[in-house]
Amino acid sequence: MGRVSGTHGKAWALDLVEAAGLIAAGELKPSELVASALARLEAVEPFVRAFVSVDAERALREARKQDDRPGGPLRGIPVAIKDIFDVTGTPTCCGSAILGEAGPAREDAPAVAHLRAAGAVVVGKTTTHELACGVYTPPTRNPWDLERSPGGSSGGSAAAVAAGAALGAIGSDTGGSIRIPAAHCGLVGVKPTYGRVSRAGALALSWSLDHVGPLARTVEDAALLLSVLAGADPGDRTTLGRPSLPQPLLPSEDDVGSLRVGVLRQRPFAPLAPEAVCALDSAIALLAAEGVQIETTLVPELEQTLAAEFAIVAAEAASYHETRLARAPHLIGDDVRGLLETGLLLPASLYLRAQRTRRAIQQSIAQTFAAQRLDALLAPTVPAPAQRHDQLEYDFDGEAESVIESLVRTTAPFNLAGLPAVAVPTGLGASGLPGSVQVVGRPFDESTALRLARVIGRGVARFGPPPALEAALATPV
Amino acid sequence: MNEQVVAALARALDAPIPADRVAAVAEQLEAQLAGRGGMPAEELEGVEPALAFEPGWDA
Repeated sequence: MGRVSGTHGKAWALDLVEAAGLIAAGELKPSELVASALARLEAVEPFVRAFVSVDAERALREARKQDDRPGGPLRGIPVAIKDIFDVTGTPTCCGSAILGEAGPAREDAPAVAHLRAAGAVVVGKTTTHELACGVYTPPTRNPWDLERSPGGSSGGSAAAVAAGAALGAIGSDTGGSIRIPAAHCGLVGVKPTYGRVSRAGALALSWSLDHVGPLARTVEDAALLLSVLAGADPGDRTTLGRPSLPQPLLPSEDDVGSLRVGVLRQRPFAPLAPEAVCALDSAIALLAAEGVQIETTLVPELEQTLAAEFAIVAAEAASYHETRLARAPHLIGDDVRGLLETGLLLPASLYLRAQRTRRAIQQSIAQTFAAQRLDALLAPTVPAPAQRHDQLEYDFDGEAESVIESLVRTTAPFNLAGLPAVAVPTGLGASGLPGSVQVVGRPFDESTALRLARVIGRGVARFGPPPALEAALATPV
Repeated sequence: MNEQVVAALARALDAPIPADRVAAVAEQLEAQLAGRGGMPAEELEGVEPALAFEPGWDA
């Protein structure tokens, strides 16, 4: 949202890196920033409903402790945590009645612990679509249009950051659950490489597809959060023995003019709503203006994305939740319950076919990078702007498609391939809703994806607070 | 997808799918099976699944 001047009362509107800089320079106290975010949270929450719990007293107490002592790179930064991650002293309910009586967590998930160790202050836990499996996240409302969904499943984290209640947040992404809400809410969302950030202490949806990552207002903010989140964790063996992130992750002096980017336009990245086409074209123009060489790229195997993604998710989620499903199935919503029940009956041969398809997709993408000497891919994050709360289908020029299949078909390819993908806003479309594209890097090359996303992010007008939310706030009750 | 087949499969696997859910599950299972999990088998010759087992005790 950008720099504010004069009063710390609107410090919530600062970008994360700017706020961290002011705190490091002694121009802003952690307690002032956290108090500002909590005041904003209190004001917007009745309209947005992004939080399942807020512990203002604890947040202020932790912030005050940091006022007069040096700290890490996130010193005093208010952050929000998707309610699938363990946070000490609070239950992890995962948006589901079946976990509604969970007791308080005894320790922080490693991702949360990393944020705290860097000085971040947790202001609350955010809503998730039930069991992190869906793209609506009721009852949360999109700050850009309260009649629309923030996306999902990390919809609460996205809505909280977009509304100004936190400067950053974390979510999880199994088939797009960070990038879809980031796109719908005008944020940057990073799904890192599989194995980059620990998944320990978080609810699983699909062991082989789950990723943990940040949501923030700018690419620089997201990069800072990622640099804190990343690292080896004995509790998640997929993180062991991985290459380190470069330091700095985003160089201050940068020239992307020697990079080559392949643009994906074929299925599953088609059909697109006109606004998504404009978003992609504007991102291409911004990269080309910086000298980036743009190539057309075809990966035909990606047409099989949805079949492979849904087979793997159904089988793994059913196995993970089998005991809960047997114990109290009536406490799981029908859409998620159907997926779990179906997963219990899927033949092993189909699951293995999906995992072989996944390997074929990975190999094909790798060959494409090599053959075209690519540094990254560019694709639409989502094929259409945020859906209304009750909207079940998109209409692509007369072709109806379910909302979940539409949104997942463009994001899941990179869960299957395990590649880093950065969703970045492209400005407001004709409907007044944010557009978004995703930049996809080689394995463990988040840096190049972030560098290219920064070019796009800097090329579009920065968002202020969402007008729909400001109008709601200004309307007398 | 035949609902009787789904019900029999659920019974055999001891899967907690009550009778009033069989029709819905049959519909979803049919859609999943139609997808065949992705690519045709003949295009996957020589491709191992994206699964790994590490025998080391410290992993």
